[in-house]
Amino acid sequence: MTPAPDSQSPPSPSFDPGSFRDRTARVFYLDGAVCRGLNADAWDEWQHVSSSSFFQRAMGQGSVVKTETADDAMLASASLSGEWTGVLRHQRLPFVSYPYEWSFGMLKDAALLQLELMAAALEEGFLLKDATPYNVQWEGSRPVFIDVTSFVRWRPGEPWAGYRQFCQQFLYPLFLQAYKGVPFQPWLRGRLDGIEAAECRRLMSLRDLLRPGVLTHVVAHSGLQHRYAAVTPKVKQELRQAGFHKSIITATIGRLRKLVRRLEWSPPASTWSDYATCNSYDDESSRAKEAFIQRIASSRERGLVWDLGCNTGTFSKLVARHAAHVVAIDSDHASIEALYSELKAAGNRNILPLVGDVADLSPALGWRGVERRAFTDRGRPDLVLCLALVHHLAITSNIPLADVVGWLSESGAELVVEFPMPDDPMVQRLLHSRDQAYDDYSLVSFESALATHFDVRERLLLPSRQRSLYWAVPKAASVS
Amino acid sequence: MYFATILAAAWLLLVTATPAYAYLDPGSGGMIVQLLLGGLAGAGVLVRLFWNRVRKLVGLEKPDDEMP
Repeated sequence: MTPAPDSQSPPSPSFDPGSFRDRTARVFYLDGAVCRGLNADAWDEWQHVSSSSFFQRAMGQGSVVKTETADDAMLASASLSGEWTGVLRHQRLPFVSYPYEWSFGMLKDAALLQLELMAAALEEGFLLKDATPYNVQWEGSRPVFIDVTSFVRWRPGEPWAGYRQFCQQFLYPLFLQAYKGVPFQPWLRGRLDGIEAAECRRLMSLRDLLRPGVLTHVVAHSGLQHRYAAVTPKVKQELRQAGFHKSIITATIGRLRKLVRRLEWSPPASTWSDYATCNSYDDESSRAKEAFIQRIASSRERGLVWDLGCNTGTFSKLVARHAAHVVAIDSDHASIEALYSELKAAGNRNILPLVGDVADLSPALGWRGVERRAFTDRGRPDLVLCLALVHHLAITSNIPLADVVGWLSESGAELVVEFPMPDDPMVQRLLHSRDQAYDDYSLVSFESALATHFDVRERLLLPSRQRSLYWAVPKAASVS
Repeated sequence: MYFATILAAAWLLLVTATPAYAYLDPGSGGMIVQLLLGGLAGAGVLVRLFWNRVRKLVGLEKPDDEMP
C-alpha cells in the first residue's frame, strides 16, 4: 500500500520493495494503481476468501481495504511476465505509516482489528496466517487491514502460526508501554521483527508477573519456546496427532481480545499535551496566528499536508478542512495519543497522527534499506506547516538554522513557518540552560536562509512582536 | 484452567533460565501456549500430546513415521 512513485510512470509494474515475505503474492504499482499479483495457491485461496460473508462484510465496513479483481484491459496493458495466476487491485490509501510511528492507542486498535478479523474469519473456517502490524494502515483515525492474501482456509490440526508474531509485534510492545511506562516505538524501530519473548521476560519484574497476560504470553511462551525449539522440531505434527482443534484458536483469540481491550496507558501530563492551554501566546496573538493559517489553508485545496511538531493538532484540524490528507507528527507521545483519541471519537478520516521527532524522522529500514520507507519518501506534500518548532530544532537539537530551512525546502512544498524571536520567553528558556552561543539564531539569518530557498509571499509579525509567521513558496516552483 | 495455566507457567519459570533458541524454529513454543489458552479442548490436546510422547518413549508406538 505504499504510494506509487509517480502517476506518469510507464505501465510496467514496479514492485514494492517491502512486499516479498509472502511468497504467494506480491504488491506492485501499475499506472498509478496499487496491485497485488497472486500465484496459483494464493489465487485459489482468494476465490474462497472473497466469496465469504465475513470478508465481504469487513470490506463493506472499511476495515479491510477495498479490493477487486483487476480487469483484463489493465492486465493486457502491463508487461506482466505470466508468473501470476491473477491480479488484484486495491484502493489506494493516502499515506503509509509504520507501527514505530503509532501511539499506544493506535497500536492497540490495530491489534484489536487484527483479532476481530481473525475471530470473524475463524467462524467461517478461515484464519489470518500472520499477525503483523505492517498489515494495517490508516485512513485518518480508522485502521484498515491491507494484506488480503493473509486470509487462508484453516486446515484441520493446524495451530495459529501467527501467535508468536502477534506477541512480538503487538502484545509485548503494548505490555512495555502499559506495564512499564516505556515507549515501544524505539524498540519496534530498532528491530522490525519486534520484541522477543525471552527479552520481554527479562524486562518483567516479579510484580509484573501478576499483571494480566504476563504469566502465559511472556513467561510460559518464552519458556516453552526455549524447550520446544531445542527439543522437538515436530511439534506441529504432534499437535495434529493429538487432535488440535479450531476451537483452541478461537479460545486463544478470545482471550487475547479480552486482554488487549483491558490494556491501558495513561500518559503523564506532558509539557506538550497541556501546551494548547498554557503557552506563551496572548489571546490577540493566538487569534492572529489562527487567522493567518486559516487564510492560507483556505486559499486553495491541497493534497497532502505535513504538520511538523503538530502538538495536539490544533492547526492540523484547521488545515484538514481544506486538504485531502494531513499527516500530523510530533515527538511527544502523550500529545499524539490525545490527538488520536479525539480524532477517533470524531470519526475523522483525513488526519493521521504520528509519533516522530522532526530531528530524527523514521529512516528507511529493513532488507536492503528499502523494505520500510523513510518518512520523507512516502509521498510529496503540497504544504508543510512548521509552527513553534524552528527554535526547538535550532536550539534543543543544535541544528544550524540555515540547515533547518534548507531541509524544509527539500520537500518542494509550500511552507508556513513560525519564527520565535530570540527574546521570546520560550526561546529564552531554551537558551538559558545552554552554554553554547547561538549567534546564528536571529531574525536576520532566518530571513536570509528563507530567501535563499523560498519566495516569501506573506509575513506577519504577531501582536506580541515576539514571533513572526511566513508563507513561503519554494523557488522555481509554480504555485498559483 | 487458570490454575493449570499458572502451574504450568510456574513450572516453566523454575526450569528455564537460559535464553530461547528462537532462531531454530518459528514458534513451536507459541503453539503449545495456545493449548494453555485453549480451555478444556486445549487441555485435552495437551494431555494427548504428552501421552503420545510417553507411548513413543516406552516403545508402544513407532516414532513419527505414521503421519503424512
